[in-house]
Amino acid sequence: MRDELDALKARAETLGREAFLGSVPQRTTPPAAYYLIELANGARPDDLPLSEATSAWDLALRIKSVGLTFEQALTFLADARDLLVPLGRVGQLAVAGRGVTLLFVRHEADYVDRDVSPHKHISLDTFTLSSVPADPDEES
Amino acid sequence: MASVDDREIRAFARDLRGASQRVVDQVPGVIKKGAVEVKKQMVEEMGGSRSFKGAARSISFDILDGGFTAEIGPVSEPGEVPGDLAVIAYFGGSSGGGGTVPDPVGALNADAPRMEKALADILGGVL
Repeated sequence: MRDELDALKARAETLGREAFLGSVPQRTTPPAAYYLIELANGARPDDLPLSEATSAWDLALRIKSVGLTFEQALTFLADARDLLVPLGRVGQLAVAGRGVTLLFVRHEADYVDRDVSPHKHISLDTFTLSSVPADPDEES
Repeated sequence: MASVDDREIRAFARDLRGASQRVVDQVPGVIKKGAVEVKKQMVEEMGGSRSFKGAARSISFDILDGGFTAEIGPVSEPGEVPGDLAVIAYFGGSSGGGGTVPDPVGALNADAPRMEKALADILGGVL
């Protein structure tokens, strides 16, 4: 599971903005705009079990675009959606030995975090990440 | 407002729109009753949170689309601090984590069987 999340993070970062898995590390001053990739069940990515090579699984996750203005958060989330699910709803991630699909589920919310200074604007999408063992014939 | 995955119910309600006027007239009542139930559970869950109970009053619903759609969730407009607080309760803040109140989809899923049965009963009553 961790490999797939790392691949998602790396892919998002090709947009030139930092992406964090789960949370912004403590004592880190986050950039003005960034992505947060979180598990919808609230678990921390570091706590995910290591999956066996033969297992297939689905994981609900959320991508937050965080910015200084609503326009920034919305625009950067749209950029991520265009990159990650270019077919409108479905996209693929490259992970060795796995077939990984990212499915856009819905746009969830736009809101303001007033507990930080300056206030941060958040735009949030929900996705389903599916991973299955790759077909050995297709791998070779 | 936050949204939930109610595509099957919405599709079913849409199908009913093509039915007889007698059926069409009864659907908005079912949708509204469902919205009231979902909102009630969401308010209870938010009110049960020590940190976010103040945001419970921001949860509301709008009936749209001639009564065939209900949009339920915290109202979050500029200056509506409780609404933003409620969304943070569901989805967490800008540093990650913090989403400690159950996802609204749980409230919808809890009421979905009742709504589906009510809509099916309407259809059954005219067949």
